[in-house]
Amino acid sequence: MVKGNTVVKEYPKSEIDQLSDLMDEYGEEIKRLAYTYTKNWQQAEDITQEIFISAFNHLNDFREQSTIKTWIYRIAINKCKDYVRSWHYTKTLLTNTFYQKSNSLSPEEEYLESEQKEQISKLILQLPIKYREVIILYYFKEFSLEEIAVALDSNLNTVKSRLRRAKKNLETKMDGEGGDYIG
Amino acid sequence: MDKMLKEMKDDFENYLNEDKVFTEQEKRKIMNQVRYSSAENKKQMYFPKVISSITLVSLCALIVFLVLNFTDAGEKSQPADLHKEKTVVKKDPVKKEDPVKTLPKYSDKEISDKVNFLQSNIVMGMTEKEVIAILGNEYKEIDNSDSESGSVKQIGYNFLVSDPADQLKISHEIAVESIHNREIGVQFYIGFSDQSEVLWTTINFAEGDSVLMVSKGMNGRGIEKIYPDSNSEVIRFTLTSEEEIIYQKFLQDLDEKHLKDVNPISIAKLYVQAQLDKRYDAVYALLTDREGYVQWTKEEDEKIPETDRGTIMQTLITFNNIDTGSFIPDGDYGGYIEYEASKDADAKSGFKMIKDEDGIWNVAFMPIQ
Repeated sequence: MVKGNTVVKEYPKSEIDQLSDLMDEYGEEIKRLAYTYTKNWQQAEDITQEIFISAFNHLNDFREQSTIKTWIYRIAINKCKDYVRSWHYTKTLLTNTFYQKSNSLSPEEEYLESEQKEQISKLILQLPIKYREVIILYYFKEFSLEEIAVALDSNLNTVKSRLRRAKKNLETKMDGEGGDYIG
Repeated sequence: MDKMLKEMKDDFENYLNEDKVFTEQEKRKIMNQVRYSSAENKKQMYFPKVISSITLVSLCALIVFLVLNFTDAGEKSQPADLHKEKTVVKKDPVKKEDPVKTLPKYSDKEISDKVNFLQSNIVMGMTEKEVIAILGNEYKEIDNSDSESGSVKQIGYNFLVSDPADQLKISHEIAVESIHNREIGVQFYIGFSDQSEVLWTTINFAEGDSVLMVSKGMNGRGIEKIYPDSNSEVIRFTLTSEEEIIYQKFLQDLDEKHLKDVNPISIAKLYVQAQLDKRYDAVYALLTDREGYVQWTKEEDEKIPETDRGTIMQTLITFNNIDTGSFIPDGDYGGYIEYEASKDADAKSGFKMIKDEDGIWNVAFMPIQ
């Protein structure tokens, strides 16, 4: 069985079985990751499908220099970025976020919205992708900075400075929202 | 901040969705797709072998046929052969020799290139002589008597014509069907003033299943779907004359100084127009450069393939009615245009704008969200 941070020595199973294992292990988190880029579950589903098909087609390309987790995340991040730059995303589809914005909220919903962590989660999803992804990978997907550099095909110093800026950006947004956050 | 973020992993995941999002059904769907693709690939691998066998068999058959035919020709000198006469009677030599009119069809890419060429090279105020020097003499003068646009003369060109007989088949009625069938790629009409200068132009062409009309005049420009007819709503996009002037100045040098004091809706319209004109350098230049909001570089933008840029119809449908939308400020330097792209849509559309540090409104990266 494939495990998150262990280096996979060999894959004795058939390719279809390997794909099945990959989806059991990463299906849930990859679809959630895709959602953080698209903010739309239908698009996240379509991209997740593409990600695993691409992973299946490139199973033989997997090298042991990285973990299987970094490898599948790298494929996922590239697919997500291709998608958000494509016409389908940039021009045609309204995301769930906008629907939320255009609806007027009931007092109860307002109260829920104001819950601190929920509010921060919302602000994270509003960050530009380059900041959003490092925060999510580092804090919520538990990647090391080195793993993020591999997954994003970037160098370590860029990742470090991006993470710093991402946090600063988030703080600015939190101040803008008038929240009293515990730092 | 660090501590708080580290502690909120589960909260963040719950915020996304409290339930499991990747279902067994999705997994099965992917597995089926992969199995299907693998089967298809195998078929493709097998195909060349089958082709080789078929080719070999065909070659043998051809040799046998030629040998038999040669023998048959030798028999022609022999007396009456009833079997052959019957065969001749059954055939319809006239039908057989009737030439089949196969019209070459021009691709959407060729048509689109021609439209772009006309849009960029034939401009208002150009003289008739200059127009003819660029487009050639194969035009037809069209009855201008009922013109309401102030022109004193109109001419029309057909471009990318499949059948040479259609070259000058042009009247004041647009050949919608021929354009739709790509028998005529582009119909181009020009109206001249009493000074023999271009007063207006109209380009008619097909894209996908639609026929579009791009018109330019002194009062601005517009693009409209003219076929198929839609009773429910008109799909049209226009720039006012003021916006057209700003747009033309901006295209010259892509300098944002031309956008100073222009309202966000007009800026959004320039973005749409640049998208329609496939002026992707202008599209990018209209995106925000506010720190922290730039999502990809100009170099990366240039690498976006044409297929991901969207067609004219997609652009028209997406931004339909943006000019009648309302701008809703959101925060110190943000806001969005709320508009109703279609009466049938479940919700209104939103187009995000950002005010840059210099006070000029720009379009947000991925504006529709």
